[in-house]
Amino acid sequence: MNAKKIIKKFIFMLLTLLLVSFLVFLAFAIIPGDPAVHKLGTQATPESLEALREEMGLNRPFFARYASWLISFVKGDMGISYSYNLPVGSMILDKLPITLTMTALAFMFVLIITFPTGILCAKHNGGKLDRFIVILNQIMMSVPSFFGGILITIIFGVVLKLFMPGGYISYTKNFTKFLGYMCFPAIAIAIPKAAMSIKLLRSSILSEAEKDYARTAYSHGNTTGDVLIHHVLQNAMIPVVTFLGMALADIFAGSIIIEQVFNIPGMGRILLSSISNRDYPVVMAILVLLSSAVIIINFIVDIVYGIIDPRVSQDD
Amino acid sequence: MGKVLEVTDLNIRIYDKDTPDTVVFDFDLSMDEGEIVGLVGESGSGKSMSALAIAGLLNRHDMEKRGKIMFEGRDLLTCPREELRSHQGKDIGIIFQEPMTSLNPVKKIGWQVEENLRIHTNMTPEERKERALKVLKDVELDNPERVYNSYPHQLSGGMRQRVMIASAMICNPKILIADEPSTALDVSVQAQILKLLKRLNRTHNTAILFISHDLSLVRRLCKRVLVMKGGYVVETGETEKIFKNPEHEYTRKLIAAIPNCEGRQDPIDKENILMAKDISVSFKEERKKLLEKPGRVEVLRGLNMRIKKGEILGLVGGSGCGKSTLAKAITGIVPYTGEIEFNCKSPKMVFQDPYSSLNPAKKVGWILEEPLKNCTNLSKEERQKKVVEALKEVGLDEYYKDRYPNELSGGQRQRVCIAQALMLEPELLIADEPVSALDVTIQEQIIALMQELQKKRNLSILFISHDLRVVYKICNYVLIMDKGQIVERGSIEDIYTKPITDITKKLLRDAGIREVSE
Amino acid sequence: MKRRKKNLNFHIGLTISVVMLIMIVVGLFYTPYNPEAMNSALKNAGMSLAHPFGCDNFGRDILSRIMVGSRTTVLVGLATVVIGTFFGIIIGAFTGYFGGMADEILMRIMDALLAFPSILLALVIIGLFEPSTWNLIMALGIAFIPSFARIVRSEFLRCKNMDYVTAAKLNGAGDMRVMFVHILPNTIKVLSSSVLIGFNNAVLAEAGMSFLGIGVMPPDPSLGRMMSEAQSYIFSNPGFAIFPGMILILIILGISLIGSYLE
Repeated sequence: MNAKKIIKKFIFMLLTLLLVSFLVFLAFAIIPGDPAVHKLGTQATPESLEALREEMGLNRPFFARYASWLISFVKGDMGISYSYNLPVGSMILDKLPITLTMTALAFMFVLIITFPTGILCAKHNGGKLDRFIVILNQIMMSVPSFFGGILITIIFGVVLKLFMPGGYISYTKNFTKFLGYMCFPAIAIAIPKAAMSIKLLRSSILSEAEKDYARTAYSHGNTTGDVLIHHVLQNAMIPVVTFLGMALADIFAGSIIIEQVFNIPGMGRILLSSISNRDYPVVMAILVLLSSAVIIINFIVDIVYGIIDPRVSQDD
Repeated sequence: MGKVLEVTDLNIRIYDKDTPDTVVFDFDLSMDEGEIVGLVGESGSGKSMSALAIAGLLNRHDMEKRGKIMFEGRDLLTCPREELRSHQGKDIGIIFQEPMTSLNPVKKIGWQVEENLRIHTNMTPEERKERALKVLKDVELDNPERVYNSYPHQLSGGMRQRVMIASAMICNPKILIADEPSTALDVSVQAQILKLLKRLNRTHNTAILFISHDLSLVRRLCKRVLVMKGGYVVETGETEKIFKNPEHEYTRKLIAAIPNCEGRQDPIDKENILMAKDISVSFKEERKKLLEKPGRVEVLRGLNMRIKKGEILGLVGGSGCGKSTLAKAITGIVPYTGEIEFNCKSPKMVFQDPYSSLNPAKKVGWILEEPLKNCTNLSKEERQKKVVEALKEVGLDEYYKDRYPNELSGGQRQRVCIAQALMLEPELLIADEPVSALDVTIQEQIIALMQELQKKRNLSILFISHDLRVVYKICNYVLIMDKGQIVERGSIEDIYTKPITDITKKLLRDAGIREVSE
Repeated sequence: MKRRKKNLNFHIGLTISVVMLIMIVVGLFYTPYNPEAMNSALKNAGMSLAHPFGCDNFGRDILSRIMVGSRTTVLVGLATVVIGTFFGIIIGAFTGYFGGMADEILMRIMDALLAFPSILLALVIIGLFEPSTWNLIMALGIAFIPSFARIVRSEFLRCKNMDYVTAAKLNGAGDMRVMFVHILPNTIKVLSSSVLIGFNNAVLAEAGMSFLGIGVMPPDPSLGRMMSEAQSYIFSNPGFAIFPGMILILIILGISLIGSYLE
């Protein structure tokens, strides 16, 4: 992985971001209909509609509108909400840390659970622990995160009373308690993803351990542990890294749903209400932000992948 | 000259569910210091199993090993695991058949070559690197520093095998086990690896156990040989003695199957069935950078050749010379410039790899019926009849038409391939390395089949191969190719006794033909 | 030993799936109670012989509602998979087999789309149009196409250079025949795995969106929406949320076990 490749991928990422923003803008420009009508209602006079369109800049050529929207967006001005007449930015940006924290916590849990378990299971393949975990995995993989959230609420909230269901505490008021509360939704999201990645890691390790290079390593006098850690693991991780990248993007997008279970005032709640209210600037802005996050995550995963697997480089 | 290894009464059984299946019976082997011993047999003979047992690599739960493997006074079969591990890599090295998969794809070569030093010595990193570079040079790799910093996928097959040898030899082991080290390689690279092993044996006094299915290779390298079949050692002794006077019937069969330089065919003088003039083929290089225009690689340059009716024409050259591309041009798979005149129906092809030339998802009968479905107007019954006839013609029972390719052996699959190629009754058959992937005894059967079919149907065959010994057995006339052009042509007799170009001479040497006749 | 285990997975998965299927099919003709019938006397009633899964906040029988709700869930899953598979095979086969400029462009687009979690794509489409069952199916179907097309394409790339394809062409098979009669059957194994995974993803996405209130809309019943309604009654009637969730898990688990056998 050299600098040239990274730059190439970075440029490609920017292009994709541009493409996505363009597609979203295009879609929202064409489909929902006339924003002036949305604001003033269908009873408004044609003159007032025309005046409003002029004011909103809707009569400019399409690409000019796209360009100015894009430039403002990047600067932080994401338009004005139809429903609240407030700048979209102010509505969304303070919710961003909530989503980010939850995503980060969930991802961390996935990593912490996956690696030790996957390695242990592969090492003791066929043993009691291994068989138990395999079965557990199958079940956990099938638990939708929001249902997991409900179950966690019931078990830890109602029965064990470890936390107050619905009792969200803002990060500005008390950061520790905020983190503590966020752990529960994070675990709900993490469980099915962790189950899938344990399954993947375990089977990946087992299949790599059968390969010829593992046999060569044994022929040098390595112990099973040595072969596992120094030879097999790096190879086995390759598909897992790819999966974790997708999982991270999934977690990010799926956080929207889990917010509803735990009564968290994040971006999801705003997104949902704006969809119901047809508040297009808000919907557009949130979708672009979420998509950008996913694209950036994929870029990072791509680079990590290139670091782990040297076969990926072509310039040689 | 002391004994370095003494294996007595080695028996290996595999337990499938609860019934044991013996794969190696009463195997005895003793090796002196610095001796090169050969172990010969077909796939399934037990030779690899025995070797893996000696190397301490047979540790599956479902395997039972009995007997003694004595190394330096210790029985490797019963000693504690740590002790076994201390010998592995330091005193006993092993190299395998497939150098690509035997190297870790994500680690640099230097790291892998040094591994034995890391495990068995207390050298510092600098000392290890120095040693590694030295041993890489020793195995005749140019630019050891560059190889040290490379990854396996950046090297060629021959280079990777040298790296494997370097890695196994770095601690100067007393024994080197070489399990089919050159089978997956080109004939000329094969020759180089053999020479290398011979040299290392001389300079380091390493005993080598050389395992192969190819008796002629073993003859060039080993003083003593063991012949195995079905898990038993059927014959053992000095190589030359065995060649001159084989005792066991199986040994005799193996020796007879070696394509050897006897038997000739008379050149045929008939009309041309194919005339190729000034054929050139070039391919676009893979795009390296997104906006750069890709260059072109010339594979065939202004090539001229002709095939006569009823002739079996050999086309020989090293890998990369363009022989497969010529075949593809003739069959129309690849675009070319120049002219090809056909005096016959469109030619059909038999391929090298019996495993990818038959559609795994279809039954044999369906595969054979396809050409008839697409190109003839026969009714279903007529087609089925022809399918059964075709199977019989290549020596297979009607029963096989309902089987899937993965249920057939390599030799059987190749028969089906030949049958498939003949379904539309072509006059010209292109055989692209049709026997290279087969065991020696099977090779002989397929060659005999092709000769029989040629006589029966008066076929013309373009027989492509990298192995001059096989070509000698079947062809009348030979074309030698190099770098996209025909560099020499002549009757089978002339090429073998009066080669003109260096390339031909090298091919003959690599095939071991000159050495044997000298 | 491994093979025995795999078979066990398959049989368990098959059994679960068949039971679910029976429940859904039966639900087409008969449910113990009318799923819409409200009964204020039974508001949030717990489990009982008459109502094995209890009643919801309107006194409606949960078992009956589950039988009908699962139907929608499974239908959405199936429809998604059908759309995704059909277009995915066409796109994947043609791009993998022919390559060229069209392949490069399409693949870049697919790659960009592939990165998107299906939920996000579904949100985009729902956000643009309006929440409705049909829009949801379209959205999820479109979301499924890129990953499926990619897999089909890579299988076709792998197979198109095999000798048996060359042999088929030499023996007179045209391109369409080669693609769909010769190559496609060799890809079925890999594809089936993908199809099952896609189905499960679609089911999850539908449940999630319905939970949020923007998936399957009333009057169409949905397990996801039931769970959303149940949230306010977690303390008093946990069964209201748990039973639909369990059934959802079983649907997914059944298919997932069958899928793990195929791998």
